[in-house]
Amino acid sequence: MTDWEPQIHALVTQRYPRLLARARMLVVSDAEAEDLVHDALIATFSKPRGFESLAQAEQYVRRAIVTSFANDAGRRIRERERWNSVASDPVAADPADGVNRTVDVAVLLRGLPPRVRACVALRYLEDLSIADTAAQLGLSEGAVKRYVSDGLKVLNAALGTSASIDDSARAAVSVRKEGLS
Amino acid sequence: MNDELRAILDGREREFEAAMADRRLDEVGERRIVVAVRTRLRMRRVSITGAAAAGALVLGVGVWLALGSTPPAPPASPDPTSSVSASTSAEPSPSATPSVGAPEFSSAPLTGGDFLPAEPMTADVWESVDAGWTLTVFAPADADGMAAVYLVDPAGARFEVQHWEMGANVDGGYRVDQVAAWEPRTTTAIARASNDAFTECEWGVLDLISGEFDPSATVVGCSDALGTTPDGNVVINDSVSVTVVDSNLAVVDSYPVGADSTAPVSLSPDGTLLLEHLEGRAQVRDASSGDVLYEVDPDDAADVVGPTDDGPYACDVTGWLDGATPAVVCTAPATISTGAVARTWVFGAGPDGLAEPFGFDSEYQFVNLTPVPDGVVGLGLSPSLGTDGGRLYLLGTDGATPWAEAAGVGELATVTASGEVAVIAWDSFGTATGSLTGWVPAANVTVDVMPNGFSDAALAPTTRYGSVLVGSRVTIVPTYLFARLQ
Repeated sequence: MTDWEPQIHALVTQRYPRLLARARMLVVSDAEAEDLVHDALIATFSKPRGFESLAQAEQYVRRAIVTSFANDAGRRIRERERWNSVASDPVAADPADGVNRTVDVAVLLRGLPPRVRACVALRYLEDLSIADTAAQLGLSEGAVKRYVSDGLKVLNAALGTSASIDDSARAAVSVRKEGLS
Repeated sequence: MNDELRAILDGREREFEAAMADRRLDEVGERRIVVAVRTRLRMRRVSITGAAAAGALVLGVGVWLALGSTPPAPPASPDPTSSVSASTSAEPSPSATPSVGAPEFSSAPLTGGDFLPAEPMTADVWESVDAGWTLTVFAPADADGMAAVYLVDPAGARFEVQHWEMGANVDGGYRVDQVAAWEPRTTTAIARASNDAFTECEWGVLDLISGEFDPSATVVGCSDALGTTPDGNVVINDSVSVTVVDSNLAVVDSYPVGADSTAPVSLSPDGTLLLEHLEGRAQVRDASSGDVLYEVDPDDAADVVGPTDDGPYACDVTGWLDGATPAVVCTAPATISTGAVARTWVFGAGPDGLAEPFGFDSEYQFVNLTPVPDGVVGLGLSPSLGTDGGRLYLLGTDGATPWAEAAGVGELATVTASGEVAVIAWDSFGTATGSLTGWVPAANVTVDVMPNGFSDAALAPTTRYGSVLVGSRVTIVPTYLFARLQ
């Protein structure tokens, strides 16, 4: 057995609900969340990473979930169609109502365009900086700022929060550079 | 400011986590991920190390030459999983295809569902694979696309080489339903994949370790592999032609055949001859080149045995008496019309004509003779009951019929023979639908080769064919998963 197989096993036996939860913030069904987690696991371990701990591997996969989501255009389209089919969902609460703490933030998040959603997730769930978010998603920093700004407008309005784009991120994962081992 | 939004998002994510706290990925799902990762890593490794691998191949040949041995035949395709392991001997193996190292076997065979108990493959077992072993891919319908590769030893012990998700590697969700050719200690096999309806097929090279299927551009369609020639080429037949391909599925030769619909062409057990049925006679060809070597006219056999009181014998070319001798079976007209017990005669047909026949009394009409160590196995068909009333007989060339299967036999499914061991499997109507029974002449015992409970859908066509070694070479016979003999 290779060194990465035990890591996958540990992740799916010990951290699976957490990974699913991250995915569930982005997609509308448990089944899609599972697909997303699987895609992220495959993408993560398809290159030698040299994770030094399970926590580090988990953190990487959680980010990969967002990246996989953003990169999967087909899934985005399908999900968007599904989203449109439930347009009467209470998620679409009128931002003009002001502070609405009863709104499901996950539903709000899923109502955002995919790239906006991915940027917000990485920025505020993963606490990545604008630069790191851009690097993670393969976008320019300017694009990330625009997407985050768009997302915050919706979220702040619906939730009554006052998050701003300028807040600095708090953490960064450190992963060994890719090798051939 | 932002902490408030983070807290809301974190809180919602934790709610999801709590709601899904009991969710676990099952073994099949985990294996699917592992196999997908392994495949991608391998592809990546191939692209990175391609140039180095070419150099290593040259070096390897040089080592063999220096040792004074015949260099090993190159595998059908580069096997990036092979690596020189601790278990690899520094001395070349005495086998025809020396190993370059044990591949990455599965550590835990698939269990549950329709998957049968199997032992994990080990480097030692892998190195010992030789005559009589069978390679098969098993993909039951309820396994969510998972397939297992088994090597089965001549006594029926199963070893799982690897398992993987079939659909991830074969286009269009096809299943590998026939493994046509494979060399011991190599990790690729020529295989056919088909859709469930068997209306679309692809031939390709199957990587037994990763499940990757590299489809052929030259051999297409739902043609059948009849077997392999002595030099390892595969003989593939569609309704109008035969194509001979090498281990990379490159076409070596192709020639038209005109078999009639009631008697398909068949390859001799030793892989040298092709029997082609034409109207009222048979034509024997060189299997590799397609050259016609001689013809067999069954009426010649009828002339030899002479008529009965009820009329002339009905003689047909059906099956093989030994590795390269077509069999001609003559049945009395009374047997055919009324099921009366009468003398049946069996001839061997060679380029010089018919050999001395042997005879026995029976009420059955025999077809599909297949050589086994102790004689010939033939399917006896009851004229009144047809295939439903068939019986499987062991026919001694001295005219004795020392063994017959008492249960109804649907179809003579397969005979695998190696040395003193032969295993014969057939559909048995005496047991549950889809179950198969096998017989080992050397031990004169019958065994279940498939446990009861297999549905037809699960059984066919995924596990019906495999490769088996006969003597020192690889040939192809339809085969099954054998139950372990106790």
